[in-house]
Amino acid sequence: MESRQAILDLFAEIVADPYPRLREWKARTGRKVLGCLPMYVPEEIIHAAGALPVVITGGVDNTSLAEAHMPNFACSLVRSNLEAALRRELDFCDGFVFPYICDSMQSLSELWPRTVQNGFKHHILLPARLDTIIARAYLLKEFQRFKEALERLVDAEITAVALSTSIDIYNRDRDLLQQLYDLRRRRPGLLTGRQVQAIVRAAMLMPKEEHAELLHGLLLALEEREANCRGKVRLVLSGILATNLNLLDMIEEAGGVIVDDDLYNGSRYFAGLGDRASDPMESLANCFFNMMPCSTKHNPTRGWAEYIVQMAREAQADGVIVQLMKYCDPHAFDYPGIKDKLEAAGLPHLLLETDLNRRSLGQVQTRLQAFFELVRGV
Amino acid sequence: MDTRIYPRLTTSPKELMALHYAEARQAKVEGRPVAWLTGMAPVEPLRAMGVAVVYPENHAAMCGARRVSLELCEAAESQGYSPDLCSYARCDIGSVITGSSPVGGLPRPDFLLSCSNFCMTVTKWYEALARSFDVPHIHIDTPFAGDGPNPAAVSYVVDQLKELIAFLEGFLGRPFDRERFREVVCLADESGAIWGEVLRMGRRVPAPFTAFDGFTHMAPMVAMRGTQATVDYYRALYVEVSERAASGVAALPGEKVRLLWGNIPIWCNLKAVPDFLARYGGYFVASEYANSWAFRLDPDDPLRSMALAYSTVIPNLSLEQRARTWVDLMEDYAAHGFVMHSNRSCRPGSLIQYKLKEMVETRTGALGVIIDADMVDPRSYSESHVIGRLETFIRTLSGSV
Repeated sequence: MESRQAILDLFAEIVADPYPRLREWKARTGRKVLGCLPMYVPEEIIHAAGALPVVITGGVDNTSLAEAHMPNFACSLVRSNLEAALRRELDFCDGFVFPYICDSMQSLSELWPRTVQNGFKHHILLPARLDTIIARAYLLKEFQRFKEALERLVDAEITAVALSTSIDIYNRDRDLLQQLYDLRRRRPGLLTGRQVQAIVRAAMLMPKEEHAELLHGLLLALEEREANCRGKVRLVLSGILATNLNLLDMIEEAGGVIVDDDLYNGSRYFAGLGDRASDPMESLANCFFNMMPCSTKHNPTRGWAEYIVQMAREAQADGVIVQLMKYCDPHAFDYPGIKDKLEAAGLPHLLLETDLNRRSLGQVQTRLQAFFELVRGV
Repeated sequence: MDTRIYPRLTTSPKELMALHYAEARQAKVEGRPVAWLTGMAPVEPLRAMGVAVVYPENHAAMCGARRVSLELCEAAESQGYSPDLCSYARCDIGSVITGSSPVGGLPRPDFLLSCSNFCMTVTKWYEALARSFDVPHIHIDTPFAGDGPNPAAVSYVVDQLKELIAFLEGFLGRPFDRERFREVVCLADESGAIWGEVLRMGRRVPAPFTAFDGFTHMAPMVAMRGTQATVDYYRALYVEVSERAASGVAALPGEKVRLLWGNIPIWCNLKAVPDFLARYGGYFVASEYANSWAFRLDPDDPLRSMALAYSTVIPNLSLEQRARTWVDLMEDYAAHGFVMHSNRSCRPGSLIQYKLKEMVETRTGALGVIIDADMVDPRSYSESHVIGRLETFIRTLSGSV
């Protein structure tokens, strides 16, 4: 059994440079890799087709190539993925899957074949409504359309048994990630924010079977000792996608400790176990409709703002850091409502306008310190 | 000095639009239901049930045109709405917050109806309104139609329209008026047909009607579709424009360069672009934008024809379909070039533009130009940038036609 540190180092390595491993996996297995744009692509169907779904989250430092193809007032998720593709960094992918989540992702999906590559591309048109049973029948047909497209790609049938098996594999990894997050809530600081982020990100970049093995080993190897988080400011991170590892270090250096998050590169990715419905497609649909409240999906009865407050209370957080990606319209529209709910709940919060690149965060340090002083003073 | 470059049409939508807003206010006073709708939401069932409707987008465009949009946007921003967000939404939210408006404000909605066919941003805007007014918000999800509608998506939209009708029955406490609905659908179809005919007159050389005339005259089609008054309006407009056409009256005397316009107009500085280009004999004969409302409905199959029409508006179609639409328009209208507005706060309209421009130029051999501005936020308008780009463009183009 690998030691705790060895497993953590491996996850960090995978995240720092994932693509050589993926190329090696392709060469070894002869199977296909499909790049999935965030969020909510039903990876289990891809897995059941024998291909490897990989979530590509962008995050390059400059987007000079992308600028020629798209105005700069697009979010960094869209621009940096376009940039990565134009730089040929994603050539190892045999195709790409775009989820229907927002106008910018739709635009990227449309630009992609004419700009980047003309291979397999599927735009999975997930319903935007979670508030009506009508959307469910539509989603099942859309899953079917995706399944058929994948069957044509791999020239093989995706059986119900294969899909159920894939769901079980995914559920195992989800369950382990859930255990990791439960552990972090009980003993914050046991792992650094950077370490936890690497674990989640690695799940997006390798076969789930392998990830689950490593994570299972890690959870066993974690010592049964209290993490020292006395005097630290307990924080929840809230946002859609926020992959800046330097920011996590900065939060901890300033005296903060992360107790929970609702990020897609966090708990949102593994939320919702596919249940054991008899039909695997129904199981996937259940998972979709039970998703954590999301800015990109319409559901008046279950708001994200209330969810954040509940999450913060359950994790006994002292405050919330809202990471708002610049030019993310859905989140920016939700922010005033989130702000109001947090204030009404007496939860201090800091709004950080972010993007995905790894630039230095000079101004953020000052703001973090001021925020911590405010929280401690309360 | 007379700043009018070309003779204005006498038919004007001002009175009809004033009536539209007055009717909504009157409905509120009398306790009759009022709904706010997105620009391309399926209004016909609401009309059939006598719900008074208003269009915040139309109102926001007016705020832009009347130069009051800046303070409204700033009011929304002071509540935490990012300045990067859709300026229609900021303007509207700002108007709700301050109560300030060039038409006395919109009457408070009893419910909200959004449809994501033009963009998904409206869903979020209307969610914000729903929080603010604490009223029901019905959203019609029209999945991206790609190269053409897919049967599953059309069924989904039809089912949502049935759900909308059920909502109306429940909310208003009376059965759906199918007879009146049929009438409304006929009227909407008829005005769509006549509006399409009016727009097609821009194909004539010289054109008696410009795309910018279109931006003014489209208002009843957007906000009063399904009424007899709208049909009468477009009949009158058609008569006036065809008389001009018959006598060879040109909207721009001495027209030299015929152009297409793309994206939402720069409402907050509407005349700047056409007036500048007119000096070089250039003017707009058509727009992808105004054409969106020239759709047809089938009274014998209303829900399905509505689902199809509403799902296949140009912004909900693939880049390929958009390019083909542009190429067809360029040919039909004998256009020499085109101007695309890179609308800063409208991501769905603008992110694919560089590629779209390239495709249109390649397929037609015509020259295009992209100008950066915003539909109602004047802070994104820079005269030196816009005029600078247009000057190079029009000089090149007029030198070669």
